[in-house]
Amino acid sequence: MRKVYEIQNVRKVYKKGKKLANEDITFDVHEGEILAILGPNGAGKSTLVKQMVAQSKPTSGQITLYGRDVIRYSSDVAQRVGYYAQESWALANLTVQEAIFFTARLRGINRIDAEHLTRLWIGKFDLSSIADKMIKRISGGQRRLAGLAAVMAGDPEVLILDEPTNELDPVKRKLVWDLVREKNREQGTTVLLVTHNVLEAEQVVDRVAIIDHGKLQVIDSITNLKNRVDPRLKVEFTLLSGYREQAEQLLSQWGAVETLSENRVQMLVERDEVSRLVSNITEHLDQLSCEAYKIVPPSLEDVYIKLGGGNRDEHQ
Amino acid sequence: MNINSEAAASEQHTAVAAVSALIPQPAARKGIRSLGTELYYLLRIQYAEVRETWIWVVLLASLFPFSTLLFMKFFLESPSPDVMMRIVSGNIIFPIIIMSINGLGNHISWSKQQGHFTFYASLPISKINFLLAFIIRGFLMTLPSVIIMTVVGHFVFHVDIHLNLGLIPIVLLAISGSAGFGTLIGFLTPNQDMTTMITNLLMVFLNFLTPVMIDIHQLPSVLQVVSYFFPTTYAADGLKHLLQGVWSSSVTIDMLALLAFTCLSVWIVVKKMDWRLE
Repeated sequence: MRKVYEIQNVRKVYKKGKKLANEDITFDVHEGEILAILGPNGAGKSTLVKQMVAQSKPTSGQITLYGRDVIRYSSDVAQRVGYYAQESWALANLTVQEAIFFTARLRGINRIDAEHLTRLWIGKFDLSSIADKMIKRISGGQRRLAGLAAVMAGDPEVLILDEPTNELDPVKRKLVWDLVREKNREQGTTVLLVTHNVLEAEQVVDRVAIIDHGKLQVIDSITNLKNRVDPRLKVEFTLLSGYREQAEQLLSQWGAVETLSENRVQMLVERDEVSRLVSNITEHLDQLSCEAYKIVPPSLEDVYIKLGGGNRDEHQ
Repeated sequence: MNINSEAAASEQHTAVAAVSALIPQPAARKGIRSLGTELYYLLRIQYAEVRETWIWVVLLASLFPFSTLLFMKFFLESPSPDVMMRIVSGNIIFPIIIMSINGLGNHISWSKQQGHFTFYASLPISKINFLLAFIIRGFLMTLPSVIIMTVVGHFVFHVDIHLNLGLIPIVLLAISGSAGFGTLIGFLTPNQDMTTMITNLLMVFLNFLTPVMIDIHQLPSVLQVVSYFFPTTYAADGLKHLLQGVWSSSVTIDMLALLAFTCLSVWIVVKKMDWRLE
């Protein structure tokens, strides 16, 4: 598979060597994939992305886009990469449709096509009712959607989206993920996502890179990561009130039991032991006082927490 | 542009497919036409930023020199025609300093601090156009105040202003030279607080300690030398002569100096600074 980005031993130091933001990061981004960069606040994700879009220079190491150094050929990056940043948007005084149209025009798209794309993305992001409103007079969530629409309308080969679903309600978040997936599927756009929203990202991404303390902890496909961290399945029980201890005694005969709350317990079982456990549960359903039980595979969130992603957030 | 979202749905796929083929190839050299289009949209963005407030900005920029003009009218009992002309031309330069150096420098610094450059840096636009958009913004915001002060000066001091074609290039060059200077300050200062401090100090210094409202020979020799490093010195001198209807060799030198200031500031920003980098 063709490499879009090659990040080689990137190190970034701020404040005259006092703050290490990125340390010896090496990985590739493949054409047509959706890669998520996960990590706690202050882990160095945005710093890495800024270097990938040639807005910050690595202290050492190199980043190439389609084989060309991003700092030396920064205009290539601007041409081929659509970057949605967390910073406040420069187009706050334009209307939503002006902002999208102007961005498309400034990306070199001719007037007729820019108008097409503006209509297209206003429709897709459900922004028609506020198309004539100034960006500074719409809500933070709507502003975010307008910003994303402008990046998408530029129709770049690579999309880098830094926290695209912050401030959005669940319906809009789903809309954004659907559109990211659609753009990737239909146009083969390579997508790099920086997000905290691990559960939602799991539905969209092909590979995950976890960064903590400026270092790349791991990069792999979601399936491989889950297997690497803990391949066991989770069996979660919801019990009748007051019967937890009795249920735990029974369940402990079949494996280790973990208490989650007053009425909820969990067991971790190997895949080939699941059918035996389910038979036991069905046989002893009344004795267990079990209201409901479910079997779930490990989530990306489990992987994220296990590999260091949760550490700093918990303390903040 | 009228956007109809319902119609959009049916043409989604064809539009995307069609446009994908039209995206310019990376690092393709741009023609004059596409550079012009780029500058037009960058200027539209700059215009959008001032379209609701420009009248207030122009009035406020005129208020300070207007007050100074009135103060001098009351303070000086019977100024000579030459002094009167110096005061009027100096107060025409005043809004140039406020808007082109102070206002533009602060605006650029503020945009930088707000992270607005992140958006521009992510677009395949030329550096010269990005810079020109700021300079033209500074120019257009300054011009009304210059005209207002010319008219006010004429009526307050009853000076006989000679309207001539030479005024056009000197005003253009005075504003562009100063706007280039303001742009440089905005780009070079590390944060907006620093920019505000520098531009405020500079405003007072340029108005009162360089030959903007007084003759250069009235200043101590050190300040006379320092004055030659600022575009406003040449702008005030050239303007004073041309308002009197005199285009001497010193006016030509003033114009060349202002042109050099404009070119030098543009050259420094274009050649020596990578605006895409933080």
